Amino acid sequence: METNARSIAQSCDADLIIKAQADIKHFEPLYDRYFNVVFRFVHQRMESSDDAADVTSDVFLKAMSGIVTYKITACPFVSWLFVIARNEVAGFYRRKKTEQRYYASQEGMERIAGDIDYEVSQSYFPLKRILELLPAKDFELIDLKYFNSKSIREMSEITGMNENRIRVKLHRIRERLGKMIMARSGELSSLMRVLAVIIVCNLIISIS
Amino acid sequence: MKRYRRIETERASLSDSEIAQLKPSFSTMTGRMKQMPAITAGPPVRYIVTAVVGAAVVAVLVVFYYLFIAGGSHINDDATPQLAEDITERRISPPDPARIDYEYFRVTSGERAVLTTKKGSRIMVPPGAFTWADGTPFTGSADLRFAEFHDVVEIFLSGVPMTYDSAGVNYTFQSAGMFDIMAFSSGNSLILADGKEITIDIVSNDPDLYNLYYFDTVVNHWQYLSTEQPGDVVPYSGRDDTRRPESGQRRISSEAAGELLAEGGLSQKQEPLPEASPEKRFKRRDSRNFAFRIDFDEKSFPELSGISDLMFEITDDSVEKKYLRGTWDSIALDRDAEQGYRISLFRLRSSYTFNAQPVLNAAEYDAVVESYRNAAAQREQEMAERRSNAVAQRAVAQRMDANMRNWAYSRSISVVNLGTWNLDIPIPMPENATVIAAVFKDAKGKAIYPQSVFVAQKDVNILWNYNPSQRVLYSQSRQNIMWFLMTDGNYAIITDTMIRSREKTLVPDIFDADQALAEIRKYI
Repeated sequence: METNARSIAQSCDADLIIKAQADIKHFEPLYDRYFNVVFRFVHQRMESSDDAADVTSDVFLKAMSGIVTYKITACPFVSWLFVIARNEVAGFYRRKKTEQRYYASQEGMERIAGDIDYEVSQSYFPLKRILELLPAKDFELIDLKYFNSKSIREMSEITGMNENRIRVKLHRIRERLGKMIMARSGELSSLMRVLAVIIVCNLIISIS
Repeated sequence: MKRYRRIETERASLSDSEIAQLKPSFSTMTGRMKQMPAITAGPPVRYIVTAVVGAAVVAVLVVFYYLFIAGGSHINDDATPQLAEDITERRISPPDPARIDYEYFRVTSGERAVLTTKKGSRIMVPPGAFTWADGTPFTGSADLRFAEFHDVVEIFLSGVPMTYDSAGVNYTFQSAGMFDIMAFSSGNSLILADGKEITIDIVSNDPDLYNLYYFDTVVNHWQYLSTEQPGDVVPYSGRDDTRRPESGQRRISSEAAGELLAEGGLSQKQEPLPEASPEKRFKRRDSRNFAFRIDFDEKSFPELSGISDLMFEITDDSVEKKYLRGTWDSIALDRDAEQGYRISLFRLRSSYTFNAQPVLNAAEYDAVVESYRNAAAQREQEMAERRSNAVAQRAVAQRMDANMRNWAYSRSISVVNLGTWNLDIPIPMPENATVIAAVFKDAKGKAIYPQSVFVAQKDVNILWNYNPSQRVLYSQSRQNIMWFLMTDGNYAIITDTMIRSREKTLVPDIFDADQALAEIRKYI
């Protein structure tokens, strides 16, 4: 259910967008309003703050260059910025040809852990490892939902996916994560058992 | 197994000031923009690229899925369950409006008013503060309604939503104090006049600087106004006598509280009672005794005034009758020390003085006595009421003193709108939050589906509120208490012990409202 605040924000943005399309100097309030939130989104995906600032600037350059073709719709302007941002981040890593980084907040990890019934008192390592193995599209949904607290509607606006489809995918991803983490915990348990057997055997051999 | 990214969890996020240092100026951005080629390829190109990448990812995912996950299920969009979306409906809806402790004051339009609430907060209303809702000037007396909310229970009872959205992030407010202020006249709402401000010095126990928010009931959303400055929060000086209501302001007593602060009641001047009762002052006239009338100034002897047939009898046995004969030049009447009267006769160079007593005929005597007794009874009743009021005033003053003694700080806020104002810090989520993955059931095993769940933690003034579609979170590092309202008006309370048991089924304790609110207060 869309709040009236969202409508008010959108109508405020719409006024500025219309003016910015006529004269780019009117883009400045939008730049000031959304720079920090876009920066944080990008910085989550960058090792260096300077790289994050560069990519964020590129996001806004693209937005300023493309503002004349931007159509004011029910989708908020900030969601459009996030679409540009995720593309710019992907482009950054394509050019750099380095491994993608992601800086996950502890709160987000706890939210995921809670949803897949993973005991938080344990190490995050298994959960981190499994998230690292998630394909980009699946991880993107996890990222938007748990690390950026986006609503289903916002996720739909950013990813371009249908809302129901997002709900189903999230449901399935959570199920899969739960199974994967159990399997991983099982693997670790098995490994621990194997190691324990080896140690005991060595002890027996040394004693005899 | 392919790793798509490397996840780290050990980095703190940058502050707004740190981000500001990295942020290029807008002029720099416009300069760079002019050097860029115009965008001609639009979103469709990107979508195609994304689709290709996505297809490749899906292919990898399928391989990964069949390699590592046994018994994978086929995605069938047609069989999608309709999962509820997060809903945050923001409206003021008190769970029990009668429990909101409103205070009422009456202020005169053309006068400045300084009002002190029961908790010790102070409200300063300038002259001419109000207009009618359509902007026409208001004169006369306005009724000011004020309520302040300091702890989680009071905030809960206010029904004011404490959620806040900022740039797409949901927050819950940690409050340093909230208040609601409205003005009415003859049941019609008033508004603050243009250019007028009401200043509220609200009591608080939190020394930190908070943000000021106003609840906009048009859009049902909190609006950020400003951030407190160091001088806005000062040590509380509640014992200062200047903080008492100034004379001229009248507090309208709350019927529920039954309190009365009668302004000026003890200071009203009372007519003095006669020093002696009529039985002592007057006597029934005895026709066998010599009695006489004299003229006297009734203003000097009000206790003798209003009596139609007043005469005097001599009470002094030593009086010689020869002095009562003849003609005297003048007669004077005096009171003596023993509450009797003295009559002095003057002639040339001689005088004669003797004691006398006013005497009344039988009917007059009875009437005077009756009147005196009635007056005495009424006076006694008035004195009793005044004593009772004084006791009530002392109790209220003691309560105010006790309330005032509880507060360490006072924070000054100037408002330009009537309504609900809040001093808050937005908090993204509970620290060390863990999901409560449980269903609620009553003692008979029947499932309960609460519409709204509240969670609070000890020593943190935050009221977390969750709707049915949201995951309920609790803090691992603090003592939690969770509650929700039942359809019968009772409260279901889930204690910290129950929460930490991580049972899949929770059977809450059921209390009536008074007990429940007391239980919650114990926790917070």
